[in-house]
Amino acid sequence: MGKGEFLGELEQLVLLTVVRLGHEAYGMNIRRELSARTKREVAIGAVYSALDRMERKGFLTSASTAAIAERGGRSRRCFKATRSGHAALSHSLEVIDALRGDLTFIPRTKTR
Amino acid sequence: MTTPPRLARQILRIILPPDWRTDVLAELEDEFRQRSLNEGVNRQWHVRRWYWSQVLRSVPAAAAVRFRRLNPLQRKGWTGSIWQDLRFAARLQLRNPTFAIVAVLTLALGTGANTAIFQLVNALRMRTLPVERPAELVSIGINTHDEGRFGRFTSRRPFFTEPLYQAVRAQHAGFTDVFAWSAATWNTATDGEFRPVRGLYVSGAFFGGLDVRPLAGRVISGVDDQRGCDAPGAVLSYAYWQAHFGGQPSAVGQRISLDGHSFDVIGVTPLQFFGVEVGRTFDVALPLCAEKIVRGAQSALGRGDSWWLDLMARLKPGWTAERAQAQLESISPGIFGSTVPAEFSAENARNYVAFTLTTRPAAQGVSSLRNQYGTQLWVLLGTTGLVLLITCANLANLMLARATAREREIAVRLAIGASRKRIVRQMLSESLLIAALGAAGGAIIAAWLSRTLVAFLSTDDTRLFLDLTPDWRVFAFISGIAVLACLLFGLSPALKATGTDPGRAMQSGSRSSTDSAERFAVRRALVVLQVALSMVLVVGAVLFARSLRNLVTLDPGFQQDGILTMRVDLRRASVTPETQPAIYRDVMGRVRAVPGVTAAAETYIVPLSGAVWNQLVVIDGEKKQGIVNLNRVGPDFFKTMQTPIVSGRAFTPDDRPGATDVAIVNETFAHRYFASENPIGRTFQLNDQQPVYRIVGVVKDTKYEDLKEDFTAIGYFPMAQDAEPSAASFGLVVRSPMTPSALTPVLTRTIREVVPGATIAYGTIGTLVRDSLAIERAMASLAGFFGVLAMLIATIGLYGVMSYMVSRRRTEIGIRMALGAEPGSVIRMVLGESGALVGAGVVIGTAMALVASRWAAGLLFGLQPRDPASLMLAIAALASVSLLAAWIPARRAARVAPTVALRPD
Repeated sequence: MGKGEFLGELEQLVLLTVVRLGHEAYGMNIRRELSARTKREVAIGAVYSALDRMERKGFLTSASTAAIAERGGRSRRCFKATRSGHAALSHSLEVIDALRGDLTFIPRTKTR
Repeated sequence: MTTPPRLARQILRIILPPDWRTDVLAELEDEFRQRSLNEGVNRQWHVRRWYWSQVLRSVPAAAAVRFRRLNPLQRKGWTGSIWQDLRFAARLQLRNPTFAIVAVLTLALGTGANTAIFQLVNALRMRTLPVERPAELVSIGINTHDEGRFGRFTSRRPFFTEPLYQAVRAQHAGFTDVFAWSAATWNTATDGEFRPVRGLYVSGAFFGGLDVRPLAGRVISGVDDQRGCDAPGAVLSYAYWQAHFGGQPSAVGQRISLDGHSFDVIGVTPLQFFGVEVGRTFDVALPLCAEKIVRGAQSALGRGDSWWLDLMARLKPGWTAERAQAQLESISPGIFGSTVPAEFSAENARNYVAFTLTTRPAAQGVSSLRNQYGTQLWVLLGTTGLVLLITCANLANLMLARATAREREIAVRLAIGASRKRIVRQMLSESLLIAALGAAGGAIIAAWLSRTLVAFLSTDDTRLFLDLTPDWRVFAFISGIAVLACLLFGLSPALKATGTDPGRAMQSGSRSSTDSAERFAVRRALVVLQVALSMVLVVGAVLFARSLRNLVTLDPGFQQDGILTMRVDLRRASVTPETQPAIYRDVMGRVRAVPGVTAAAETYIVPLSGAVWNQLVVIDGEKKQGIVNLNRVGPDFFKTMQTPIVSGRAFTPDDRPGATDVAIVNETFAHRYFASENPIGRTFQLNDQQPVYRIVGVVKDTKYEDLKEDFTAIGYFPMAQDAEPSAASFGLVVRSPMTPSALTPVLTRTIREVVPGATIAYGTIGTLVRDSLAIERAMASLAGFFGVLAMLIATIGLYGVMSYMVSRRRTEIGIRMALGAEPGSVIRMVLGESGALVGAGVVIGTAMALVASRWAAGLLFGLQPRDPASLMLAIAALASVSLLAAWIPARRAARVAPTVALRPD
């Protein structure tokens, strides 16, 4: 596996959020979800930067939606994880789990 | 407030990669609106802070992406090596960031100031109107051959009467459309308050002729503008629609109240459209025929002596403005001949018939601000240009010092075979990097500064509206400045650095060729230049500050503090010319009885409000030279204004209809027409009309139209003797020690008890005075700011050179001290040297200031551009600051211990 196929921390978080949001995965919504779940304010620029990198690596594709009436007829750019995106995500989660193993000195926090 | 902070948005716009730009901006805006709705009105700053934090934290990520995409490995050849140079330059700057930070910041200030002023010039003079094919538009005017036009003048650009417009429309040949418009202010409130909107009366062909298509609904067209229309529709501007109708499409079909009349909203104009007058915008437009409904009996429609319209036209294909002008000139006699108002005297009519029509290209729209602010803007552009020059001179100085420090490095590179061209390019790319960063910073400063300036020049009455979004001209200007600055401060050090003989430079232990008198001479010359240029700016600052002071401390002939002005609109109240006098008396009695009011009087014209009523006077049957300003006032007017009565008496309640028609004149009137004779008891007429007025008093001179005018001749008549009392509106001046906000509710209540339908607009003379000085205040503040900035930069330059001089001559100073020189004599030596530099700069600067001040002459009030006191003040300021800058290195020199100085390196 080449270096380019590993995910950075923010990339990993963003990709997870994209998968989680499904059809609602557009920039601001990803940012909102990420901020709510990680309880820290994430900048929209950082989200787009991660999306841009992953799109270049082929982990994501994006497409414009049809015009949305509430947005004054503007469309929205939505993202979707590709097959290799899913693979990279599960791989990097596996790597984390493998490294974590049964270590006990990292207290396990409850996830929501 | 539902729009994100503009500056933040602009920053993000610039930094975002183009393919994300729309998405990110739109999504941020959506979220901003959402948050804005969720938060209370008082917590809007939270939302703005959130937006700012999003922007600022997005900048590094976006910049990183752009940087990543500029992959240098994919670039080859010339561009590739430029890229290498820039990366090398960037690394170099990061190693010694202080220099880079100082350089970028000063350049950003210089570029920002220049660009801000240029943006104003651009918006005011260069941008074309945001309509289709603006080059076809011409503005139609009248050449009056230096004769006066007579009659009533309303609106900002009162160039045509309605009959004239109709005649032009009927007889022109070269235009596809001729259209008329007139600016007005309407009141949207219905509860006695005055909530003004900026109105526009437009002829039916206005929107069609400009080719402005509606964003929603429809715009006014020929069918809406029919004489005698009874239910005309109103068109909203985009901004007004957003602010007052929430941008809802359902606004079309709703109703809007203007001056108490209800109109249907029929459409909305696009975002960019602001009318045809640059510097102004409108909120609501009505067809011309609606003027009759709004102004009623005062209507200007059909009246040949009511000047209120401005005309524009679109040329037919194949026609030029010159050809159209020739055609208009040929039909002028017919047009003016057929529209002579019956009221005109024989002489006025003769002049009127000789008028001719003119055209001038109007692709950039029309604007009175161009003349009003023209000189100021050029002077400011010159000022900021000088600041930039000083900045560049200072940077050149710093770069020369750095070149000295890098001499070894460059010598090595030359010795191992680098071409001189290659090294010059390397050094220039460093300058370019600094210049580019400075320009980027400058763009941000400019965006902020130009908006601040517009806000500074806007007053309650005249809000300025200029489209300041950067266009290609602004970008060209900024890039031009960056390149120019880079060459100015980078080229000479680069050439100098590579001009040395590598062999000499590399000799170890040598003090190297930097000691060459030649190079040091360049640095000293640069300091002289900086001092000279800042002398020009400091003189300018002193002149503008003193001019403003003269205006502020000027005696307008009345006590301006504590006067509240009111305009009471009676058109919605049931007041007739017959009932008017009794109502005035009742209102005045009650206003005077309001606690806190010490005096009050009616007046036709509020002094300094810009309103004018004037006439020629006839004395003893002889028509006199010079126009006389007039006013009609109540008995307590002079008491309220605290204008002293020089001789005779004030008006009294006995000056009533039927009694002798009396007048009070001011000192200028008395001197001009009666010289040394006593004017009391003499008589005069307006033109040759009845009645004959008998002068009963002389009052001190006061300013009439604005503060900057010379005292004019003024005649006052008693309000009660008005033969045609107006039932439409009247003005009031009220003197009170109370604050306006405490007084106005009581006054509104009091007046509406007498006239329930009255609408009252308030102001203060103090505000009128302050507003009329907005441009002077802006000039004084800006000139002061740039003057101080220039002085600071020049001082830093001087300090740098003197410090360098002291360190270079340490050995010499050490020997002198070892041989018994007193510290005092060393200090004198250093101060003497800096004094020579400053002296040379001041002499050259004074000469330059004397030449340059010619351009400022027209902007100064109450002092000459070559005012010796201002020159002395500027010299003193510059000399004392320079002395301070030289003192520090001088003291250091005096503390040199000979043993240390003489120890070999």
